[in-house]
Amino acid sequence: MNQHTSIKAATGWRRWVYTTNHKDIGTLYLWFSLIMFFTGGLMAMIIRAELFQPGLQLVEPNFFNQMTTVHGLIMVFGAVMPAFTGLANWMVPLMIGAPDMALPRMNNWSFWILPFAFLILLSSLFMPGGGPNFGWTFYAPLSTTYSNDNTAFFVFAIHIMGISSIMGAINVIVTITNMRAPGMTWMKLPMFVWTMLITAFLLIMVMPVLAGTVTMVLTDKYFGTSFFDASGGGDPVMFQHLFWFFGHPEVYIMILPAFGIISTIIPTFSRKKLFGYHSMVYATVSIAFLSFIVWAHHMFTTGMPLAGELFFMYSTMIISVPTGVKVFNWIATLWRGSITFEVPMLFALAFIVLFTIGGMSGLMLAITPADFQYHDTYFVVAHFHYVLVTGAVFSIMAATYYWIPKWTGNMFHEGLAKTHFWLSLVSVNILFFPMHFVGLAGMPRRIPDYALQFADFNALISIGGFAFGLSQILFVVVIVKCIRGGKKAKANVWEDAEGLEWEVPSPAPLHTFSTAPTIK
Amino acid sequence: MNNKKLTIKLIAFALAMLLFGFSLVPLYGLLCEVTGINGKIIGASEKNTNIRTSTQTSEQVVKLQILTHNQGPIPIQIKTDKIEIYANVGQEYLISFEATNTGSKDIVIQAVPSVSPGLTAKYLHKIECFCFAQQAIKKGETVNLSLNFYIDELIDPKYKQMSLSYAIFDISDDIKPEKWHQLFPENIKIAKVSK
Repeated sequence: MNQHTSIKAATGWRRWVYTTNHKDIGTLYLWFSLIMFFTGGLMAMIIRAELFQPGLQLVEPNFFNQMTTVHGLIMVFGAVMPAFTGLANWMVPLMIGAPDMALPRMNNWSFWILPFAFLILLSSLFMPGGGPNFGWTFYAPLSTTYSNDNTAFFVFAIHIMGISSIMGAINVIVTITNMRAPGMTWMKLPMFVWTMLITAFLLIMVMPVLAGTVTMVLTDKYFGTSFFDASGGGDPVMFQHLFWFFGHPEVYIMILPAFGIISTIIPTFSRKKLFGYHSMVYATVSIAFLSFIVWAHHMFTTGMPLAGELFFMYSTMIISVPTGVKVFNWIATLWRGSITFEVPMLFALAFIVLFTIGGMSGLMLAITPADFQYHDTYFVVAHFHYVLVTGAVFSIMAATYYWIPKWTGNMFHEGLAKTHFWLSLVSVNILFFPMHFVGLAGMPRRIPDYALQFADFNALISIGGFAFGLSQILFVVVIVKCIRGGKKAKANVWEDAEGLEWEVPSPAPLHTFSTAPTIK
Repeated sequence: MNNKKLTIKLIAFALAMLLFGFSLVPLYGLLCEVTGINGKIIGASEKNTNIRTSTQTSEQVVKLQILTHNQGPIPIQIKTDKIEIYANVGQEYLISFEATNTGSKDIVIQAVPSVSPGLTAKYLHKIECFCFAQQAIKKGETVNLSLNFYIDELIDPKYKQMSLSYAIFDISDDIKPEKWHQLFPENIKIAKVSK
């Protein structure tokens, strides 16, 4: 402690650029994620504006494709993943009683390369030829033979994002392994810390494979290799195998921390201990393991042998067992609890219901023969937006409302926050629920125009989209108001919330747990 | 384990995963070759040594359909007189194709075969195939291409039909000038301005 006070702390912009403090870096990640959420959101608004009516009104089809592609990339790599890394940076040291992350300088680096990655990606939108237009999944040969000359910018952006994620993940693992307060055994770790640990392992296992895959796209496109080019002896289907070997665990990278957040919030506002802590840990590990053996369920229509289709169908369905365990445990935690409906709890409850809807449609997609009908339709779009928006994004909002009094020292404006919640809840369902119907009726995804019979539903979806987009401005208002002032928050913001983070004062001082706490 | 050791181990692990990602390429090729699940036929086969004489007819017949299609707009027309044949198992067949370059430029093509059902691919033995090599076709020229194959006697009798499909790729842009000169001795490749 004395060491720190003797060094003159950097101020102004230097504080943020030079920082090695986990709380400052966490804050940077969270702001970055919010900016990206609005950037990707703006693209979603363009998509929905074009789809408001059948026919082409606002944008060229090629630009429309760039919007769907970059929207996906921004939301996955720019909004959801950095938000979880930011939450991990802020909360993991506080939850395990550590003074900081284990590798603070690497922490600084892993954040500060991220804005450059997205600058590179976004800048390609303004170059002649435009940005990537082959979908966030960048299937070969769309991304090799048929892509524009700016594809290298996309590839290098992914490389940088990958390096950033891997460094962030290594930091999380080392911190959790080595810096737990004495007495905090593995089975006493808070659920959020467990889920971040497992997520970090998933990251270092799959991000390098993604890096390899984009490198192959790069050499295929610019250096004459033929990893994915059939005329040179390659195989475009192999691209899909490589991509989904990364892509499926990536899905769980974006949802496991959400499970951790919900498992933290539900007990607090039910005033009970989490039901089945051990089974929660094992379920998380099982989901992580299973995520590696289900990848080809994204590829049922590529012409796999029957045995393969059956294997991937059953292994996918098995995932619903540990996921079901989790949902069961949350409901069992609620059972006979003294439940109150503060804003974080509202988001958590909405998560349970809406994520389960997303899980159910996932189960429908897992059925191979049915998938031939659903594949590449809006049904898939509905499915993954239910798990990612009302799943991952709602959990991030829940986490923000849950911990923001700890971060700022002020309570947020509850009325505005509740308005944000209800507007989001209603609009998000108007936005995504009808997508199930148009998808089942056969509307393909990633198209700028559609058949006339889908017009009414699409208009409705777009209205829901604009409403959801506008509602998020309220989220920013609540956050900014909370930073500027408000009712002072106590150390333990939510009555009897459990966890070491509630033992430090609010706002959490820059340096906490310089001496390790004792774990009962 | 201290921070430094653990960090180094984790970085090594990430690098190993990068290597694993690249090693999936040969592993994928190997897996497809062993199981034959993607209908790829790799390389030429030996001549069938225990061929029956043409007077003998095998009781097992497989209907083989032969298809060609251009991958993208390529000014090449490929014709064959036998779009489907009832092939006696174990017997050698010769199919001839005529490929015409109807465009205004010399073209080099590569045919990529694919067999369906995929699991039968390993029973279709090609002794000679135009797909084994790149084919150079001058503008306006018609060349004869051939395929010499037999179907293995080990093929499961439940397979009554197979299809052999050739995707024709224009690979002119990937040919280096010196190679181009070998393929078209009298012409020098004129650099293409755009794709």
